[in-house]
Amino acid sequence: MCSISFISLFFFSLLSFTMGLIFIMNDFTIFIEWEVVSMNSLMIVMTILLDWMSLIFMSFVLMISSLVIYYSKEYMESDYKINRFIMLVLMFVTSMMLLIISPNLISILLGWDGLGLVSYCLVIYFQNIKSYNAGMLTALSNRIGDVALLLAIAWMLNYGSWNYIFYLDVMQSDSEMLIVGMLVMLAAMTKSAQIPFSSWLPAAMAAPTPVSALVHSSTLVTAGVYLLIRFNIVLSTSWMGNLLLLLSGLTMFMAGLGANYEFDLKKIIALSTLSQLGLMMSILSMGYYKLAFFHLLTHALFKALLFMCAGAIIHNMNNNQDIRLMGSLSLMMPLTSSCFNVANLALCGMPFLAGFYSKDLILEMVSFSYINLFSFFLYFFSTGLTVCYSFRLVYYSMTGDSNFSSLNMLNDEGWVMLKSMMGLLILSIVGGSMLSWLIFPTPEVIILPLNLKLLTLFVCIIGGLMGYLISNVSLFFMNKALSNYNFSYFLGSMWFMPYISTYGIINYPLILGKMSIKSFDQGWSEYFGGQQLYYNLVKNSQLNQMLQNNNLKIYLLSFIFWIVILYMYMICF
Amino acid sequence: MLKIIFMVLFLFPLCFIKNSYWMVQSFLFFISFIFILMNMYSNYFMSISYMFGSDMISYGLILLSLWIVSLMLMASESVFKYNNYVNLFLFNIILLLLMLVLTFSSMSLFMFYLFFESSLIPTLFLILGWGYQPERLQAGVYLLFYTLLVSLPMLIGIFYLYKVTNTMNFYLLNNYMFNYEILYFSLVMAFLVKMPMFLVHLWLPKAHVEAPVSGSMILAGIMLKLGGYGLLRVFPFLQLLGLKFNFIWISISLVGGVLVSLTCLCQTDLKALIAYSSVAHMGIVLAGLMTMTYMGMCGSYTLMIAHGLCSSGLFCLANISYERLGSRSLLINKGLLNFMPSMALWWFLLSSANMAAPPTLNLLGEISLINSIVSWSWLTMLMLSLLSFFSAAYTLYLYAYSQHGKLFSGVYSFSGGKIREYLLLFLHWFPLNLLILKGDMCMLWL
Amino acid sequence: MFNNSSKIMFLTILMMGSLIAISANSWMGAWMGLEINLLAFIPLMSDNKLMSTEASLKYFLTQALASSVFLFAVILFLLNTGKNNANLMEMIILSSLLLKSGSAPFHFWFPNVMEGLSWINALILMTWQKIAPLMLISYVIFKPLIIISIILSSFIGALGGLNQTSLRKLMAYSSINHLGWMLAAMYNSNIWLMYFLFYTFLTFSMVLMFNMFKISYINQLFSLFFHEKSIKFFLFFNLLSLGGLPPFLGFLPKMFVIQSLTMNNQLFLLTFMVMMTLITLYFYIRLCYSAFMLNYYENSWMTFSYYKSSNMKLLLTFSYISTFGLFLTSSLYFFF
Repeated sequence: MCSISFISLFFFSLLSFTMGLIFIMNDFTIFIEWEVVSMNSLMIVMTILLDWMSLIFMSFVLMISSLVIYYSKEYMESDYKINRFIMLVLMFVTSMMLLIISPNLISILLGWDGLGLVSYCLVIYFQNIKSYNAGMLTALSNRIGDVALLLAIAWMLNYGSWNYIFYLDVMQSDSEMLIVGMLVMLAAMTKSAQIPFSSWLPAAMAAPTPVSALVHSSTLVTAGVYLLIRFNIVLSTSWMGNLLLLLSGLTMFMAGLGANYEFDLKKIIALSTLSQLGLMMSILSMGYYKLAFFHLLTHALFKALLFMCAGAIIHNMNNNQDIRLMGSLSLMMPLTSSCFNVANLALCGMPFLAGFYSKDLILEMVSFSYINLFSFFLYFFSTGLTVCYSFRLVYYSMTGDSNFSSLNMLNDEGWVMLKSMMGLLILSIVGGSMLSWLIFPTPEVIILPLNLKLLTLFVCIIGGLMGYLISNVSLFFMNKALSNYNFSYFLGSMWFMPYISTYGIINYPLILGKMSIKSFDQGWSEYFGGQQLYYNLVKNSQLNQMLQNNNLKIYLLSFIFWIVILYMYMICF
Repeated sequence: MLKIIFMVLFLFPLCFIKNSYWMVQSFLFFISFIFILMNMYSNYFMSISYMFGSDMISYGLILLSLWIVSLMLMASESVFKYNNYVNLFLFNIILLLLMLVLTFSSMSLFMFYLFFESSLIPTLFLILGWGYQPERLQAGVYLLFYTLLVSLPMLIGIFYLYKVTNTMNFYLLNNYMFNYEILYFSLVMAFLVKMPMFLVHLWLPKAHVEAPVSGSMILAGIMLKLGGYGLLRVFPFLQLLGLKFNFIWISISLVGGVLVSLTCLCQTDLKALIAYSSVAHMGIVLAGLMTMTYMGMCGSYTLMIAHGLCSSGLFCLANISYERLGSRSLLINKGLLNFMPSMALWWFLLSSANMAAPPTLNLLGEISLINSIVSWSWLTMLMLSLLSFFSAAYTLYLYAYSQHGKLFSGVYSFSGGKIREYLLLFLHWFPLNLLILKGDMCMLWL
Repeated sequence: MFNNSSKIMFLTILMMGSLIAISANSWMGAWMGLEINLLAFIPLMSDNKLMSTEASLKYFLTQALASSVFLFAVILFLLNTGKNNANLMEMIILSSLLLKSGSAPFHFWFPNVMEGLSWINALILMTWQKIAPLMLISYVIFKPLIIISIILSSFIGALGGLNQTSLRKLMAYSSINHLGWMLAAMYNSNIWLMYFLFYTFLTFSMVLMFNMFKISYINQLFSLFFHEKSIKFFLFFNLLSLGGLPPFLGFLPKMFVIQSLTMNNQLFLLTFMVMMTLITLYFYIRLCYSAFMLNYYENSWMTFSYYKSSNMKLLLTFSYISTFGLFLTSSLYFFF
């Protein structure tokens, strides 16, 4: 099952990449339409749009998913129901495909809802309480986006069809399109876990690692960014771009801060994903959608590699995910840790690896454009924080002494896992440059003063040093984080958003539900419905019975009254 | 049309032969297949004979009732196995089917009313005769009296119509337009209680929970749709009054739908949860129908068919668990993924249909309904978003609680799912997901 | 019934009296028929072990009062040829006839008398004794009083039956309710007779069942045991039919009355009557619980050898007609 799907997905990935290259060269677009229902002037169609953006994205997704499936052949080999797992992953890939190739709000809903549901199934794959809670949080946060998309469909009814591709210039001015844009932005924010919907992404790490590698690094969370890339005109010509810039900048910042306080390996990687998502969204909100797309693709490559290495490490550490118990892995697992290092450096933006091309270009465009001090600060500080936590992670896991138990079996001999990691390694080294030569045939014009040009490099080096030095503490060191416990707790727990999203809002629906049952269904509805009517009838029937039993007395009494009245009548007249 | 009616009528003698349970069910499938071949894809009444004919909406609903009744027999195999008055059960079900087919295929309003009322009697017998708990007495009384209380004024309204227009035929009545408020309320209230609307929905949880699986299936599948069908037939000549008064029903249904979705989150009884979710779905259907827009009426019909199949399938699933574990409580029916993984697939598919995930017919219906309701007033966006969100919430609650987690430790062993049960669920799910490809059959009948 | 020759004589005189009252040319003849009816019924009532003496006394007193008021009003009516206050005469005649037939507000004797009779006598009281008064009422329809009587009859018949456990009293209240419908049917002249025929048929099958199994109280219905549960199931369709539920036979007369009242624009009265019928349906269904719940424990030591009796065949035939009668009679209308 694994091998078949791996080979077919790999083949399709190569096919779509080739087609994407052809389409880029010739500036070609194919549009295939199938009409489902057409009534009055409205057409619900199922559309497939094949242009270079969707084909290249598709090829990347298929490549990563084929490598992940190959990887999970070994990772999940002790699972009974591995076929079910592969089926779920394939369904996920199908939904992602459907989302990528549709220029139509209704066919996007097909992929969007599918993504939400299948990712829910994948997150609750292991059956424990943490997975259950995480799955519910994931599904319901995504559901908010689904509802927003449904309402956007309702508003887009004004235009007669839902192919938003055709309405790009209407989007700049019309007020209904503004509402559609707002709703679509809400949907994208929930899917890509921006503030205030960020709490599901670290929680979703309860899923198996291949799922995290596929879903939470490259595909599900980038669906929101992709949707906004398609809708980018709305962002650049209205106030929504500014709002999105603020929120995604804050997300970037918060995630970077949080990753510095976190000790769970997968959560650190999740928060780093969140930070990069914030970066993508913020550069998108400034109008540079091609840069966002570029960063999306390169980020997918090295993040998937990072998750895969993390999976290999977790397997070797006897399913332990805490980095405080890891150390000196570079001695024991050389190949894995070299892949890990390459991925980390690509994340930080080491020159000429994959991440450098996209990140550096983004930061230079940010410096080059018209931006305020706060956003500028957020961008560069978050970049520094990225390097900071990456180096902290390297310190804890790779260098240093081993903190694991002495009876261990750290080895590098998961050959299947290694092969998939090797594939992604090559791609993450050459992928950045390859893509930049493809997507940007002419280089962007950037003219910057020397300070700003070197600012990136400077921030990275400072960040790296800080990361390494902060973690390099001895046993009797006064931990600054511990002495300011409240503040570091605030920063480390993602600014309390998980608590707000779960404990904060769960009370109100449940109380309202109880009120609805007790006061409506068993209260007033019964009062005006069945029970009170019955009670009234029974009371009146008892009254009737009383009259019936005493009818003779009533008759005689009324007779006497009648005689009395007659008598009085006769007296008066 | 008479050929279908006579086919059903002649199933009656078959019910009384010993051991003929599966033969009756096979014949019912046969009848439904023949009915599929009768093309009735237009707005006008076709296949007219004597006083029965059918147009597009009748066709879909008769097909749905034939389909669900055959599936009912497949689901109630325990009646046959434990020999629980099998012949009387078959008689009851065929009588109910006959009444439903006659209701949907009658071309005159009075005949519609007559068979509408008559279909209550076999349902009452099903609940009282084959239900499990002593509460079924009150459930039967609630079912009968809630419906009768408002449908007797409808009878008077029908006779008033006859007095004014001297015809009962749907075509001829559509040429009139009435402006008489009491007529409007008397005609519409009966269908609102049947739908059910929020404040008068109290009979539904009781009746659905106390009925045996066949009773729940037919109640959720078809009987609720009788209300919608009646409204679709009655509104053409009440449009003026509809414009005046429909906002009441839309508001009550939408707000009520949200409140009922919230009560779903607090339930521990499997069947009660599915019953309340029916009320929420029918709330959206009612709201969309009451906007009297083209998309709204088409969408309400689509969602009626989709909901019939989906809810009926969920009740089958609840019964499958009930037969094994002996209880309907969610606290006992949990962790079923560990023992019946293939059944969990069906739970997931039907639950995803319940929350209108693509590519089911529910999605098409909900899209049309949301479109029409939002185009009626944008303020309804709040209620609709809450309704969709909470429908996902309680459906996921149902799915996750019943499938994931640890199995209840008090069970001994049970079968992992028989072929009959899988076939039953497949036959529920298959039309639901395939009909969206022929969406214009459900959407374009007006 | 026929084990006593004097009963045959009294029965014949009873029928003759009603026939005299119906086919009379003048009011005096009608009064004579009513008196003969009354006198012949009294000895019929008094011979079983129930408290029939009290019943016969009550019946005699009330009916005698009614007859004397009737005579008084008839004489006044015949004296007053100028018809100045014909309304007053009509009202008095109508009141006395209403008292004779037992409709509200003059119904107070009816349940008490029914309690003390055997089932066959109760049947005669409910059905045959109503023919003559109703026929005479249809000659003097004084709208105000009739409408009061219709409303009160439906109301009292429905409400009174809710609180009863004795089957006789329950059938009495149901009879009062149906009497209200029959009075309402007099808007168009001949429908009440059809309603009356259907009502007689249904009541007859009910009383036949109660008489055959000798049940007088509701809790005795629960211990009614048949070897085949379905027989009990089908027998109780009669009760539902009496409640006027479609698709049973009892719906047909109600449908005709509803149509005639709608044609005469009496919509409010109609709504009220129909609501009260719903209440009577409730207490009929309460009786049927034991038949429709198929899975409850029953006493199986009371066995009846009823299969071969011709009464059972008659009962089953009547149940069949009352279940499927609607379609049978409508096909009759269709073919003729």
